[in-house]
Amino acid sequence: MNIRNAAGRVAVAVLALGVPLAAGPGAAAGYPDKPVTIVAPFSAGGDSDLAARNLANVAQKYLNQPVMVVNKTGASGVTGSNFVAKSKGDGYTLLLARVGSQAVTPALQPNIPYKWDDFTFIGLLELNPYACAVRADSPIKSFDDLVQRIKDKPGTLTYSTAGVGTIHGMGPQLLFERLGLDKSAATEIPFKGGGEASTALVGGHVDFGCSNVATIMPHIQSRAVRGLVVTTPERYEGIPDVPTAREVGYPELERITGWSALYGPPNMDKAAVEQWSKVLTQVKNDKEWADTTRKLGSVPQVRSPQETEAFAKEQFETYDGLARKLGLRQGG
Amino acid sequence: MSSDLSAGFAMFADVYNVLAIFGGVVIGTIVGAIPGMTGTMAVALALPFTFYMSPVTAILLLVGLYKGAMYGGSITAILIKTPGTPAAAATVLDGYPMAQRGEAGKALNMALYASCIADFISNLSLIFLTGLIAGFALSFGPPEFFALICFSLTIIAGVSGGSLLKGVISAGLGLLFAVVGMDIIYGSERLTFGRFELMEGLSFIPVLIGLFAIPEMLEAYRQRWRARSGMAPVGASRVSRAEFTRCLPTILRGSLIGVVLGAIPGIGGAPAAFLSYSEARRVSRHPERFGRGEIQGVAAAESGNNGVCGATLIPLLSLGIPGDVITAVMLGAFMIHGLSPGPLLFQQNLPVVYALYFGIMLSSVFLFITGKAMIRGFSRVADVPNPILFPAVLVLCFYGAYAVNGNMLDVLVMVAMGVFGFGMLTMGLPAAPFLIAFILGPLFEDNFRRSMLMSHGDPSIFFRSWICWLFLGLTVLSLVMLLRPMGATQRPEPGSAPPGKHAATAADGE
Repeated sequence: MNIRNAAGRVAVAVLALGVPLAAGPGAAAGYPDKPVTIVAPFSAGGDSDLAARNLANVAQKYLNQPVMVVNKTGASGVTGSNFVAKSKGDGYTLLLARVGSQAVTPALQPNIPYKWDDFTFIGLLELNPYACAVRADSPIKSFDDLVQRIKDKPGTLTYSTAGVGTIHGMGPQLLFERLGLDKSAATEIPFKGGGEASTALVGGHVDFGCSNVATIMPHIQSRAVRGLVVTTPERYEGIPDVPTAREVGYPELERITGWSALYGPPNMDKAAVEQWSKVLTQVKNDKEWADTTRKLGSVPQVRSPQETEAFAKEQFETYDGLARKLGLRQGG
Repeated sequence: MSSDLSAGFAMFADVYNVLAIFGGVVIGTIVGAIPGMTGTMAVALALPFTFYMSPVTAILLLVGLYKGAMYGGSITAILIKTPGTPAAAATVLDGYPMAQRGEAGKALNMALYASCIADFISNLSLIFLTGLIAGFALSFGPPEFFALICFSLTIIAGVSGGSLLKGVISAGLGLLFAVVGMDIIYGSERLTFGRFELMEGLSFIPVLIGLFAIPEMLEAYRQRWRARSGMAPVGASRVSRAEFTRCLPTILRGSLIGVVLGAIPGIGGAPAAFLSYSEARRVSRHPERFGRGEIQGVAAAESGNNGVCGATLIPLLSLGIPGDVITAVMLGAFMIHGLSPGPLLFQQNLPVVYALYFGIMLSSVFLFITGKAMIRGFSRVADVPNPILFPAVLVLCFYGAYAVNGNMLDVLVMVAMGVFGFGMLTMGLPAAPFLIAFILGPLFEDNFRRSMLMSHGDPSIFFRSWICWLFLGLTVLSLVMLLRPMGATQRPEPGSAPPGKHAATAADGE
């Protein structure tokens, strides 16, 4: 049977990957001389937790020190992020930064205790592309159809999101802004998490839905839903039939993407930043890390500290701009 | 078909698979028994280890953990009134009074039998009814959820103890506490006092521990270490055949409730346990015994929550839709191994599905064996004198409250809820309605508002499908049956009623 061969191949691959690669180059003197903690600001099993554990798993062999993941959850990632923002910059407490807690929430809720740039930027890790879809039996056949319907009858369509103030709802908002419509051009039906949001889409309880590719891809593949657009520059591997944002004529939608990055507390020790930046270049070329990242539905994307800061700035400004124009800001 | 089946069996027949299930169930049971350590945590923490296992072994380990944790929660619920998991909260209601009477072993055994039978039925429904149930689960949109939650809220009457009025007050308080945090529709902050820490609302586990465990200890202190009702003779710790036969219909009903609620994404074990409990009480000839150590109450609660286990895998496997956080983590495990649950899994990887079925069936057996072994060890806890037991439990409470999120605020919440719960206890307000309202309140509100958004404000959406009509009809029916006896005095049951009964019925008429 095919599957047994496949299982055999997995086993071989696991064996091959399990053999530790030759130990990394000797660590810079001093840092790190004790285990490093990465704070995941969302609960175990979520995107940030998995990204952190995948990184910790691989990074410790290049850092020559154990890397531990601690979940400090609550307040949409603000609790854990704030903990790191207020920690000592000795390089032993780091943050697994996420689009939600590091860009969207700082833009939408100015009353949280940190700003988007109250951190030391160490490196971007991965992108989680974003896609919009309709149920397979929907009269909406293409992204153009969707745009046309929204323009013709603003306020009639409904769409499901993973929760108010998550990036899931930001894609449609960016589209409305571009079309010159207001935030109620279609009605957002917020759910708790991407799973519930896609259930509502597959069950036909909303007209369309946008979410991480990882959540929605299996439904596109099983033809329960029809993908309309994906926010990667090129067509996405598992769903080659779905056009990109560029192809449908809305390249700015590419800014809507989930991401994970490694941040440190403000004014983090220079030597530690350098050491980690070196480790991340090694992680980037580590097949085990890249494979796991891909399997989790993300695109490996390691960037330098400077590039990461520029990226984070652009991300924050996107959401900040949207929040101002569409009046999405809470409490101010 | 049969070649797929034998290929599936070949994939399953591996010592690592058997070890994975066994290890999963054992660890899960222990984790579930520790307050603050939930099944979700166990599954999430085990996930990175499964990266290196074969897909079937990996998933089976997680399934074992899930089932073990669902059962393990009952152990501390019964012994020290500290439910290890939210789903075990309903088990406290009769399990703890039984333990106080010296029947801890009996309660634990009943919980185990009910869990295993429900688990087995849930597995069978996963294997044979997946196609049927999956479609049903998908037809649950916000209006259907709303109707279901309306019906579930009538449970409150069933767990209010003597006075419906007090139950309603308690539920009202629960709703009030559930409001804290950002509202899910507009993201406006409610009762957060400008503190970002409260944005996500009060965490469930600290509230749970504070509400049940802490008041019990404060009450014991107030009564100055009154000795517990002595050691239970070992003989009394067995479930007699007659008791088992009496509970069997309850268990079967609970299993069915668990299966149905488990298959609907987004509900989970706690509502299933409470619904099963209140149904058992409703049909019982002695509803007044519930809440005072009625063995059927334990059977109902545990069959309800374990009935959920297999069924939550139905939407996951057949549609690729995770019904709760645990199955969401499992979805991650499938993806890591290059499998995507959903219709494609059945078309392309049918042997994997069969291999999982074999393992899942085996997990019920292991659950029974593990549970039996645990009970032997744990039931002695009930004999530990309070001056030693309570400080230990208190430490566990603080640990548990902190462990959930690694957050000191949760510890403060637990302490505050403990004092609040003690106040409720002193005033005779039952804790269970508070808890149910706290769990169901947000579901009630969110689905109501989602429905209204969907229909652009047209209330007729609540009558759009037969599911809505069914549950709204049941709600009205339950309310009528509840309110009808309130005016009239109930006729006393001949002979069997315990002394407290008359007081209870009199209070019903308030």
